[in-house]
Amino acid sequence: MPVNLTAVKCPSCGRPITDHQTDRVFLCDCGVIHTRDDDGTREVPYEVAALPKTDLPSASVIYVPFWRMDSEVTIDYERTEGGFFHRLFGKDWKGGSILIFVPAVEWDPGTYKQWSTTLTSKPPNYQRAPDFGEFQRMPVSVEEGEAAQLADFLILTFEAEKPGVLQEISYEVRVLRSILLYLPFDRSQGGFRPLF
Amino acid sequence: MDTTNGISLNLSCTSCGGAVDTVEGQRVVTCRYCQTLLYIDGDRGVYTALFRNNLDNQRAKASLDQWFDKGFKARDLSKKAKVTEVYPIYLPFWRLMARAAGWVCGYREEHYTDKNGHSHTRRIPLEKMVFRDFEWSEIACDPGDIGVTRLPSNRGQVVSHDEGDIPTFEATTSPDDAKLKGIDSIRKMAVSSASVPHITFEKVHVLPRFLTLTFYPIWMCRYTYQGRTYFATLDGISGSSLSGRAPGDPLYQSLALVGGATAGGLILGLSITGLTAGIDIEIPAIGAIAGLIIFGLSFLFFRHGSEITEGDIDRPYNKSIRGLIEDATGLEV
Repeated sequence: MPVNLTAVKCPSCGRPITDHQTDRVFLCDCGVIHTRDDDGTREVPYEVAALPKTDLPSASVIYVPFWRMDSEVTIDYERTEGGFFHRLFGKDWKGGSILIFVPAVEWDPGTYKQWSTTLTSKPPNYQRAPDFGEFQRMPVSVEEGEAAQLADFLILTFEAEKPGVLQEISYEVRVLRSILLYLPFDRSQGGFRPLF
Repeated sequence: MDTTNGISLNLSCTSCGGAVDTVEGQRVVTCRYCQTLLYIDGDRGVYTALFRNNLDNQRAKASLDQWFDKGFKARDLSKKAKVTEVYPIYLPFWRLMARAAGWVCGYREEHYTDKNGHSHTRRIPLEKMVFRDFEWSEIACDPGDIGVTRLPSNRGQVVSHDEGDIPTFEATTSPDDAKLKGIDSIRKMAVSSASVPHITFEKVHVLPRFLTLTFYPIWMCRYTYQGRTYFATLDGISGSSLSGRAPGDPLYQSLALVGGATAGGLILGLSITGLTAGIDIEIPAIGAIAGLIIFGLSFLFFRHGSEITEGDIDRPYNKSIRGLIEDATGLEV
């Protein structure tokens, strides 16, 4: 198959994209984000969390993308050694609807797990902003398909980290809908401090 | 990933016609003339890198001389070996970086003896998370018998083209096959890294980051010793030896057999003596097994030590061990 160059244009308004950031998604001035691969072009639904009032300079604030996946989890069977009292008296989750958050950026495994676990356990409350304003955004480097695999890993992690030692499990994670959620962070002191 | 020195593709901007700087494997590029963002459709190829060759003929021969004096090779090898050929080649290697994310659950067994002297086994349940990056590499052509199957290192200086007339072997395996094999290998590496002896459940996702084709400089050296031809390969970046065949030394073989038989026999004898003297069975058993292993290894070295091999070359005693296992179990190893 020969190699061809195609100008990246917004599928909604048709304007050429001029964003120079190396990203897996393309943001148009009209507000549409789309992605493309050899199978074609598709719009990516997204939300931008509004930044609360802050004195931070704009260069300190960065929007970090997360895949927010509306999912259905089914746990058919689970066998654990130990954890008897937790299973007897604790509220053991047997599956159901859940919002799973997976960072869409290349972070080290520790940071990655920390944020996906934190946000999935306690989903963020935020107001929606119409756009990114003057603030930068981190490029997306994890595609939707990969995010679904990481969501599966995250649910397995929740089950494995319950009291007791997991020995066997039969479960399924079905991702019903995915959107990109951009959350604001302060990066002025090294690391990422949430601003939501 | 630094692709500034990768192998470039010659393409033109669809808006202004200007030459576009791209490297194989890139997906998106910006035209430096009109700033148009361009998507690369079709077979983008894979990121390709060529490592600079750091050795010359003289340095290669010097490294070969040093290699002659190492290990259990013939003691007069450096004096009597006649070097017949020394030349560099570029060999292609697939390299895949991927992140593995998953869990491995199971148990390990612990043996203990109670106060009445009865042996028991208990299971210690285990659950191990694997969440880190892995790297896999494999030669991308038929390596023949040169004993180099994995990328020696990835610390070379990447150049955009070969600066001399060094023969380059083409990749004969496809990127798709390499990626599938790499993903499978990394999954196995990830499960193995969890160190769970008895697995009851495992689920590991492998998320590929990038696949590269790296051309690595290798120096081929051929030499003769007492009428027989041998070879060695050298790392064209560091100069260290990678693989090779060399003649053994009859003195070392004899010493190995005598020394191994003496040591193994002594340990075995002491173990049997200890058993008859009433010492707990574990210690004499361990001693007996150790004695037999020492004798077995020294015998194998005596039997096959007339040729010393290094690198990923199938060793004669590997065949012996495989043969023994296959004969005993009837399974193909």
